[in-house]
Amino acid sequence: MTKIIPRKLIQHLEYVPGQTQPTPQEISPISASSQVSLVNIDDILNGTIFYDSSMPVALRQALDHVGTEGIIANLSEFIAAKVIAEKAHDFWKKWHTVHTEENIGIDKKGLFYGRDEPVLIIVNGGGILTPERITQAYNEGLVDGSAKYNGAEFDCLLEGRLPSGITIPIYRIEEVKRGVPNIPHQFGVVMPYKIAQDTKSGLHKKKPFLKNPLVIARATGSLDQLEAFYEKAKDSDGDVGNYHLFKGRDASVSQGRVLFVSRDHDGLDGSDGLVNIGRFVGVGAGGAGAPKGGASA
Amino acid sequence: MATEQPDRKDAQRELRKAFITTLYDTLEGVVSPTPYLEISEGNNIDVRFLDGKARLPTPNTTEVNILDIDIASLFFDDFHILYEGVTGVGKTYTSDALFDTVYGPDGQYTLRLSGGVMGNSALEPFTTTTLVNGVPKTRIDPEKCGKYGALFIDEISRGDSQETFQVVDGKIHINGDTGYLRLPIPGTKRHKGLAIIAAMNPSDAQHSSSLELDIAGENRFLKFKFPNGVAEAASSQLEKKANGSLHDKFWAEFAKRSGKEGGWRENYPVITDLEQFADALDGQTKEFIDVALGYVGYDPKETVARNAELMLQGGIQSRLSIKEDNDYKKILQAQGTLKHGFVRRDLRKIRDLSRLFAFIKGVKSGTYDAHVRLNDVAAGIGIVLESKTVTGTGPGGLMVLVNDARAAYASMHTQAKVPEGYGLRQAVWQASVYAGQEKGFDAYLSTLNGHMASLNTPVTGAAQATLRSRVLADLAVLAYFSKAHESDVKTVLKERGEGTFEAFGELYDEKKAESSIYEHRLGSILR
Repeated sequence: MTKIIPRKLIQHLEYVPGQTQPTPQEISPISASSQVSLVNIDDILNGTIFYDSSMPVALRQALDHVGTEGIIANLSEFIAAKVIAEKAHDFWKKWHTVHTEENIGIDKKGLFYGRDEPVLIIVNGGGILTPERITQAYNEGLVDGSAKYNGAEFDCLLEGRLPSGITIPIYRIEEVKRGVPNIPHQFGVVMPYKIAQDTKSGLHKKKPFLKNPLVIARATGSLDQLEAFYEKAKDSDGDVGNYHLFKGRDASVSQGRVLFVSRDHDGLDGSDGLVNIGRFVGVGAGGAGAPKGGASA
Repeated sequence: MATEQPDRKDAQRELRKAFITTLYDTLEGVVSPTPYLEISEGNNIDVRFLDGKARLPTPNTTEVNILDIDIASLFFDDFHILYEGVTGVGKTYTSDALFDTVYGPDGQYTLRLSGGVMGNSALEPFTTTTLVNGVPKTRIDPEKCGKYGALFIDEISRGDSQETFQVVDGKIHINGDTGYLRLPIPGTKRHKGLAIIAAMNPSDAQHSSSLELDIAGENRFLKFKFPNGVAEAASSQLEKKANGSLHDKFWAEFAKRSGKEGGWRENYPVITDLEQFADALDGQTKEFIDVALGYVGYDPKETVARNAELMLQGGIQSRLSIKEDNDYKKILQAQGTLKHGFVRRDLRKIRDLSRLFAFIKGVKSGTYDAHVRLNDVAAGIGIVLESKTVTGTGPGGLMVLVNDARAAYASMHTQAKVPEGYGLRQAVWQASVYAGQEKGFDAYLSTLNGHMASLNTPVTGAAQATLRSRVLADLAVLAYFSKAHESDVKTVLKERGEGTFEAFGELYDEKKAESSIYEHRLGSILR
């Protein structure tokens, strides 16, 4: 007899009669790593904003709204959305928080670059930092502006296992550069921490921006949109920002924080720490037309 | 009851741990390791045959040597190990030492088969010959049938194969009587089968009296080419020798570590009870075997076309295809090194190798479990593939395909957010049933159709397309079956709780004879 799966674990797979079924879409061949998002980029553009002066509250509202079938925009989806957004759109007027987190720690087992190698893992689509975990981090006190993890949390993440019980694929930065097709909404990118530390935190001209390994890791899933993003975001001097605070942060204390995207040429921002404020973009299962929630700000 | 189960499992694991650690410690001074292969795990899996030549240790790499294989095989009654190798490389030495240690001189038997009319019989250790009216009569001896825990069969290809296979299957027949070669497992009604390790010389010019084992023999064993590690082990082997009774020393030490008194007859069947690994392969790993073979062992275009044909019969137009580009050519090039494709017995071999490696990894990592993961199946498929390559094929080419399949499957599984340990098809079917229980047949079918629509999306990458096509075709068969028996399925959906799944399984059993496609495509999902 086949093993029965408890319903709560697969309820997200159920359809009801009349529910819109996915329309098959042609996916064009890619030359760079590209993402198969669960929703349309247009839907993200018209998604619901969840803003709150408490990051866990904003994230909880967004998660409740999107349920198991929808998504909160991750960094690569947000980049793709900004590329097609008019400059008058809120995405170019306000900073936003993306469902992407940057985690650092030690790869004790050497799963990727050797035993005891410090690594950075960027997780898109939800990882360790759930609203509850962020609240816990605030209560325990942040480490260098980040949530301090226990060893098991980071060790499991290296294996692609999240506290929620699901597993995600983790791609090495080298694989991403070679091109990974059909990247899912929820995934991770790993790179040696030293490489991330050595990248410049600040404004970049076009070539350094597009070739920056941290930018590539962060934008994985929308690398085919990165140049267009740069062109749209750059200031009059041709600069776009990519910020981080890795220098001086010790990876032997495993820790993580979420990423922000600046409203303008300041670009991708990992230097704000786990500040207690959030503005996420959520898209429910029915796309942008799904019931609205949250507060606009 | 709920609290008993984990305790019993923990106790069983502790016994396994004490047994295995004591065994390795006892044999440490007796057997020099003969490296067989190495499994590396990272983002990709790699299997490298070592041919007796070990490599420097690296992270996430498991070296498997002959003693590891021998010890792990004691825990699996449903397959046996066969070593093929030239004379003098030590095929019998490691197994002899292991058997002597565990079963002692009276609990094991070494059978050396030979051909010809006067050749000895594999049934000999289990029979008694008496004179009846002056005529010798051979009968099954029930006492002897339950006497041995293990049997080493040397030159297995040379005996009467029908008799040998009766022994290997654990059930012998003589003059209308049946004898079962097994040991009772104390405290249960189950039995522990005879552990069998066999050896043979290769049938080449240097071993002119050796024969090829026929297909029936190959089906019963996991065959390993025994590496010649003599040059590597060199003088380290000279220091290895048995001092005193390994058997007494081993069980005395085991008693000390485990607190369990008694000899091998009381303890060994309990420790190695196959029941503890009954669920070693879960729905996810079984599904991976189902869907991966059409990509790694066959032309993926043909696999996709076959699945598309099946979908069309079910009224669904496949949107999956494979481009004839460089990647496709590379796949065909790698497959060109195969002497022949997968056959039915390879599925069994993959399953058995996966369990064996999972267990060996469990021993080496200290968990002492045998939970098979995708990587173990990938390694199993890789080994079966490598064993089919033509002479002179460089290593690794086929593992690239296995890794492609593994990545494609993992991605499909993750995207659908199917819980670990369950197959995607299994999850979709069960979600459909849950939906149908609550909202009726239309909801059942909507769920099935919804997932087919979401999978029926053109993708880049031959592995993605091939694996998806298999999942899709199987779901299309399920949808066809459900529509063909709509009124029965509606009745089944009115059942409550797990009864629905049981009733669905019964409906499938009742109707599956209508076409073999049901058994081929639905058996692993519904049963």
